[in-house]
Amino acid sequence: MIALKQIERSYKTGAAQTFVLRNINLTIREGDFVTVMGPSGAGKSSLLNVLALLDDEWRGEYSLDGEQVHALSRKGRAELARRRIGMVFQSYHLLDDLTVAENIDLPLSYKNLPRAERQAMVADTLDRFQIVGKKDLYPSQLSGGQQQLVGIARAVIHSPALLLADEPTGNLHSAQAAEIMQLFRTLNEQGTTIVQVTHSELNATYGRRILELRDGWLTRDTAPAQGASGVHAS
Amino acid sequence: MPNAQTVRLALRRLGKQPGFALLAVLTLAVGIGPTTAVYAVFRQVLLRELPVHKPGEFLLLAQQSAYDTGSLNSYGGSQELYFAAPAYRTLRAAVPQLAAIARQPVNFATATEALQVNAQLVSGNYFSLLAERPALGRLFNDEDDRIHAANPVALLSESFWRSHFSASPAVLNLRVAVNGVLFTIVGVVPDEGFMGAAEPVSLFVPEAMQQAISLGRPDTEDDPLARWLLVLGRVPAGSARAQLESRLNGSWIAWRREVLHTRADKISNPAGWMKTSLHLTSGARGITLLKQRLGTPVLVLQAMAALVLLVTCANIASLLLARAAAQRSEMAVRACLGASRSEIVRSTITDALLLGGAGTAAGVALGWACLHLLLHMFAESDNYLVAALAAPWHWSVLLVAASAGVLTSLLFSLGPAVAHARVSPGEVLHSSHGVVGGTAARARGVMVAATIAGSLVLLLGASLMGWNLYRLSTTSPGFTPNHLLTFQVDESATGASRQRTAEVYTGLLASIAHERGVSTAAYAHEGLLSGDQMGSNISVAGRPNKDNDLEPNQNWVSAGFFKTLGVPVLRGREFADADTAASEPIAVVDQAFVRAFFDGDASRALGQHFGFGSGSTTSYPIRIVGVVPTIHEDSMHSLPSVPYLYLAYPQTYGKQSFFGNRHAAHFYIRTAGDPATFAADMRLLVHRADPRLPVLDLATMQEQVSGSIADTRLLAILSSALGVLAASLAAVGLYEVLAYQVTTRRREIGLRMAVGASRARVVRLLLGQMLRLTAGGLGAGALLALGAARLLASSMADLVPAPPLLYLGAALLLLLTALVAALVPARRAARVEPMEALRME
Ligand SMILES: Nc1ncnc2c1ncn2[C@@H]1O[C@H](COP(=O)(O)OP(=O)(O)OP(=O)(O)O)[C@@H](O)[C@H]1O
Ligand SMILES: [Mg+2]
Repeated sequence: MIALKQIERSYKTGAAQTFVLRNINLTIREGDFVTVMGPSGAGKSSLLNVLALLDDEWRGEYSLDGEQVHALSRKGRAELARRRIGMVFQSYHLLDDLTVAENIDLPLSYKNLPRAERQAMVADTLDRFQIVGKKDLYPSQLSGGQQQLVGIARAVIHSPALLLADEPTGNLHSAQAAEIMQLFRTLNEQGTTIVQVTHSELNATYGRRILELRDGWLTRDTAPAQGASGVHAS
Repeated sequence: MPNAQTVRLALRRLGKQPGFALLAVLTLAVGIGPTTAVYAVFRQVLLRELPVHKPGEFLLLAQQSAYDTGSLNSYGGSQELYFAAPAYRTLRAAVPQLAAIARQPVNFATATEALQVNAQLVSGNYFSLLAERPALGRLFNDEDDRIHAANPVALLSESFWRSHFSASPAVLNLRVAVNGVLFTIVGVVPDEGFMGAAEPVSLFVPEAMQQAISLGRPDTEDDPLARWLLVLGRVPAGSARAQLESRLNGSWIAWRREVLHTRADKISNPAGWMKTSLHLTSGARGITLLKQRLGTPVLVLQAMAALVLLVTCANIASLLLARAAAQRSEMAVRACLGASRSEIVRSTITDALLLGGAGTAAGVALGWACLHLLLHMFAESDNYLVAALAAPWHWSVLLVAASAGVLTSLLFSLGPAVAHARVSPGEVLHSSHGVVGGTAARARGVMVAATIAGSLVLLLGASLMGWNLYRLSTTSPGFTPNHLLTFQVDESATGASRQRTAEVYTGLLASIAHERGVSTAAYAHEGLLSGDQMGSNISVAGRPNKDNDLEPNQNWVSAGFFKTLGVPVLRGREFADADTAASEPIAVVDQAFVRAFFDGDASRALGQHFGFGSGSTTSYPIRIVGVVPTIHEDSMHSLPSVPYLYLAYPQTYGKQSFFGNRHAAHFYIRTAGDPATFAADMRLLVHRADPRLPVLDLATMQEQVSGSIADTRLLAILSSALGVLAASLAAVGLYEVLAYQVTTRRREIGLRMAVGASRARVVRLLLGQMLRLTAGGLGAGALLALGAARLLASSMADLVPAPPLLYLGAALLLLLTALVAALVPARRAARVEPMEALRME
């Protein structure tokens, strides 16, 4: 589903160029559940941003679902992301002046969907995440775990093929974290490909494959190397 | 109250944000400047009291009667204020603290110069009633009343003495000619007369000398049916006015009864004549000629300026609310450290007062500069506008500016103070997600909508005034004003005989016509667009009079008048040199006359006869020889409301105008080139004709035409300036609010993009916000404007509504301005990088 070839990402800091991703080659199959680990500053979020098509400034080749992302225009990438990708954030990023239901509806509001269909999808998702009773509350009235639940519901409402999560449980205590991870596993079992970033070994156990980044290099991959997507050890 | 420490801290805070402080001070200045400048004019026109000792003690007597008869010679103010001389003497016998005055423009000639000046006729006790002291020589006293018509003494006003006699003491005992009669100057008095700044008085003569300078008008000193005197009184504060009023009424009623007996033949409604009463009106402001002419426009301007001030307030309030939101964490930290709520509120108010003080000072300077600029722009127009604009900066003007400054700063500090007072120390612990003060944001939205509403009202007002100016300046006056020069002389006012007057005018006209570059020239008794009119009722031979017959106005014109002015003669002919005093009396009439008396049939009017007056003894000596179009005789604002007839000037020397035998001549000279270049020649020719003859109102006809619409132009210019000002303020306010939103809502915008919003969508989000605010403002503004239009329509009947498209255009302009103001923040929003915006905090 995902194939990265020689992905590089750097920031200009003054005169120097700092590389945060170096020569990343990676294949992720449909239905995979991948955990990205590594020390702070290793480039995990940077990688996720590339995968999420939020970042435009990398070099290399990236194919998603057969689409050659590197050849797409900015608009084309946004369109692709809108259809295929959902994102979950560490600090949830819910909009404070929208209700739970409105927050969940947000991605749909940017698609040309009939109103009735949208309402049905929102109702369906609220139901699936068992937060129907909270639909008219505002984010500030929810606990952290509940907020992240809403964040995930928002990320998957349009049934993306790829779910990306950057430290989704970073702000939660362990019981809440376990709940979220269980939810991820269920989503994965239902067919969603998941890439999560985490510092937690425990969270990693929910996934099937672990990648490790250090200083922008991909240093470990628990999946068996296959073809060009293998790990080039430094 | 803020202490030194709070002030120091506030100064430091503002110093750290010089951009903000500058913007706030400038905005305030822009609000306070126009308000102050317009108030200075407002005070001059509507509030200014006479510059005399205790003006509040002065009263003007007014009479109200169910029926009156006889003549009335008014020079401004309500007709109720005018009394006959015998009535004044009777009233004064009952109440000694009364004085009488009248105004008359006179020809004033010394050995070296001749001018037209305002003279005020006063009773002998006038100056003692005013408690005035001479600057030189003596003033009048009761003795000067007694010597009827044989006491040619005069006083100069101090300002006239300074401007024309360099304050020389040698004026004492100088002999001057007033309307051709020799007077001796016996003193100088620091008084400017009772008519206000628009008609300052240069000369005072005893009221008993009225007949001597009245140019042949009958002696009205003993005529109870000739009303021409204003009666003023002085009542010290605290004394019983009601008692005085009843005493006056007693002798007034007695006098009316006596007149009813002696003049029974003239009084056709005795019951109505006796149904009369006297009352006391305030004389503190004298006769308010300025108010009559400019009161309403100035009131409208003051309302507009106040609206700009309100818009400014809303704008600054929004500015300070944004700053309050930004300072919230600072305030929270301070609350943590134990600052009390009142201390926090006090510091907010101190900020506002400091800004208010600086803004007021800048505003006063701005207003002063603007008023001087206007005075410069309108210096040539008319003396009423100039007198209004030359408003002195009385301390009350500064007081108004200061209170506007303090009030607005307190008003606009209220919002932020409340916002700050609500900050709780606990807030420091929460790092807020950019939802700073939801209510503050909403309040800012309301403020911006309010500025837009105010701007719309002003812009609509400007459209209305602009349209009226456009209409007036594109209206044809009915004659061709370009290449036309005009001036006024009045030989009769020098005391010359009718024959001499006629000779001077004929000679002058001949010499002007001989000038190289002059194609034709003519003269008329009443000046075009001067506003002066004379009229009387007529009877047409063979046509019974009707009750609702209009009283035509008349003008006396020389041969070739219509040709010179470029007015086509529609039927018949105009006056020729052959029409002399000895030939058959003839008239030219305008189309309105034909409509009024001949059902609009010009061919029927030609050759018909009419005469002045009505009744069985009327004769019809005057034959109609020509018909001309109706022209703008007295004002550009509207065509005359009554028909016009023109008499051959040489045939009018036997007639009396309002000023007795006065025969003025407004000359009109059609030139080949620029008429202004002939001005000096004209002065020379007049001087050759009669060195004592002052040349008045020398101007090109274009200047006269544009001068006659100067008040409309002033209104149009000022309302447009205020409208543009308010619209700019609104745009700045809108820009600030949206820019602030983009900053505080970066995270939200980033997130929306991350979950699929396109950049166009984000721009639309911001523009939608702008549209909501603007639409709200426009809606409220439209409602306000409707109300304002009602008020305007009732107070300024001359105004014609502009076409709806123009109003729509003004609203669109505002919308466009709002759009431009929103574009920069919207583009900034579109450039938000979601990846950056969502970086973990
Ligand atoms: N906008 C930026 N400009 C410059 N450098 C950046 C920028 N964004 C990220 N970096 C740098 O890129 C490197 C990788 O950052 P990244 O956020 O991907 O790390 P991470 O592995 O997600 O760390 P953490 O576990 O702390 O979230 C860091 O050294 C960071 O300083
Ligand atoms: Mg990270």
